[in-house]
Amino acid sequence: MYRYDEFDARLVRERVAQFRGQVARRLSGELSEEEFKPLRLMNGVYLQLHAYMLRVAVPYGTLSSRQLRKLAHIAAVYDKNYGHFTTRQNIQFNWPQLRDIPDILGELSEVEMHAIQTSGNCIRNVTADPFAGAAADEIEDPRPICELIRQWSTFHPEFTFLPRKFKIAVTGAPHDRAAIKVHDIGLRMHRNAAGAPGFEVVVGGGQGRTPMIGKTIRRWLARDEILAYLEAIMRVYNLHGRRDNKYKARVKILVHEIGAAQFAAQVEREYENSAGQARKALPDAAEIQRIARYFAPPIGGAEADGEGAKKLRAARGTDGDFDLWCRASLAAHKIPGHAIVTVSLKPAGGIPGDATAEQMRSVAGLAERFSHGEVRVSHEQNLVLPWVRAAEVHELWRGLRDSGLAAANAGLAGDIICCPGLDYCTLATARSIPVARQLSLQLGGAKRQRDIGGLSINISGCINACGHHHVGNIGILGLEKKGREFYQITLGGSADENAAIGDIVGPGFAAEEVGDAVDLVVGTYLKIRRAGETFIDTYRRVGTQPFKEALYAA
Amino acid sequence: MSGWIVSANDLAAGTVVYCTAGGWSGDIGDAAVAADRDAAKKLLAASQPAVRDNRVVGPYLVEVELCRGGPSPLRLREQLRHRGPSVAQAKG
Ligand code: SF4
Repeated sequence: MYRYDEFDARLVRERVAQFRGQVARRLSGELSEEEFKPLRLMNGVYLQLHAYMLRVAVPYGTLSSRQLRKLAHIAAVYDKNYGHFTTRQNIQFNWPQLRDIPDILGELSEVEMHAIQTSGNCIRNVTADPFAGAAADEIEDPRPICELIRQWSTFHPEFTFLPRKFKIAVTGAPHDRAAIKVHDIGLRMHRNAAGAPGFEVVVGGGQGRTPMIGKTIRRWLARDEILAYLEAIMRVYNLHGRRDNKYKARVKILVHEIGAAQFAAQVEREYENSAGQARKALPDAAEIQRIARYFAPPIGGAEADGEGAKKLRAARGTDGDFDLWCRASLAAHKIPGHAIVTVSLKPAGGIPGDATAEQMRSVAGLAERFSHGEVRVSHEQNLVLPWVRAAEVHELWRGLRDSGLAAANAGLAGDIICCPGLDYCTLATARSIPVARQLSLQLGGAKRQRDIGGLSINISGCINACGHHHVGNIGILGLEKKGREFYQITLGGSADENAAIGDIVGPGFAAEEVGDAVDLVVGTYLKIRRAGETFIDTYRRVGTQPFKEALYAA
Repeated sequence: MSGWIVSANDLAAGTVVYCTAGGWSGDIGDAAVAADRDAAKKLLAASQPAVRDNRVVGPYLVEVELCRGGPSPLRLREQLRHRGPSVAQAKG
């Protein structure tokens, strides 16, 4: 994993000291709320419905056991004993007191963590494939590039006051697990005709009130050109992005208004001209190599004899519950004899993405024993242990089960993605957590979910779409009508390499009707699916009509 | 019968507070109630010194129904602020 150098450490320490002073001045009245608000937002501190909320960055979703233990400690000492993992691969604490936040940030800095770039109109914390470095289908680990982007974007003087927030996602694999097409910039690694790895550059994707799929503006870009090219994109956006209207300020609107071809041409021009300066300042190949070494797989090599795989197969053969969990939770590893393990944070009836301090400690301990002390956070709001020996998966599962963390639903209908909604969020128009909770209970156990197959359900409590409802196979958006919650359902959204924005299926539903509506949608799919089809396959074949008929027949 | 109360967040702690006759309280039952719009405006104006004194952040009017147990917010958002999240937090 990447370790801070002296510069990083000093930067974060100074930032904590600065914020400590700002909080003291706010509490003493030297700073008004108007003056303080932009400062607290630059440090990830929001004021929500019931309390302050602190959003802590987990750069590209990679955490060490030590860091996870620290998060558990913060949850236990400064919060209500839990934290909430978000669709941005971050963690949020829902109940810190303002007077404690400088201490919390001080504690975080001890483990090389902070809340920088988690808020405000800057380049936000960069996100990545949670299986990065370990996935069997990966070309190269994207995290060295993510780390480069992190170093480049942190406090970049030119890009600290952008027209709006700016999100970058990176994947090193053909199967997109980082939802790159719904980010301001998405980078997808692939090989060019000569076999050299580089990035497809996708710009102008996003969700919120104007959801859009990003457009490719460069088919292939060499790795060592990435920062200069990003800089060119940021300059074009910074210059032309709409600052007069918050709702039109994201780069997706600019790309949409002037067209992808025109946007690309401007970027290329900028890249050729002024970015030449930046190019000279870029890290050379040796520096990229130096960073890449931090991300080298911590495991030596393949298990030559296949003993581990045999042991895993035998355990799956004799333990049905374990087998069901394996089918949902294990992903193919690039090093034979190993597995990537997803730890679902979606127990039936639970709050998606929440983990107690005890659960965080327990995952930290299990990661130390079984995953070289490394944990990932996924945008699906789950945790991932990327370096598990096949021979030890069964033992790991027992440990997870003891901590209430063995839900066998990763990638299935119960793996609901859900924002905090009106239970916490000051921008919300309706609650999302109770809907997620009810659906997770009514969708049934692991066997039924296995039968339903891969299905993503995403819920947002307002049009800002933090629950990524636009790209859920079934998307649920909570709105308010005449003082009552009601929910709009979209179908056919997808966040992967075939990204699509879901179609609104028809008029919305009252809170008490949503469960039945989702049942009808799932039931209709089960009735009409063909052999081997997942929900999204069926939907793409038949469109909305059969679902509309089922939902609005009466 | 309906009326208005003033709510805000405590500056240092962030918690939900209500303007009372003599200060601020976390208990909605203590809230001072304005019976009409004019009284509501006055109540909101009276809460402003607490902003300047760095006691609270962002006071605003909340429409309530007056029940026997005290004022009860009409809007769901305010009901949730009053009662807390509707789903119990993760146990620990
Ligand atoms: S989608 Fe809306 S309700 Fe949900 S967390 Fe984002 S802003 Fe809040």
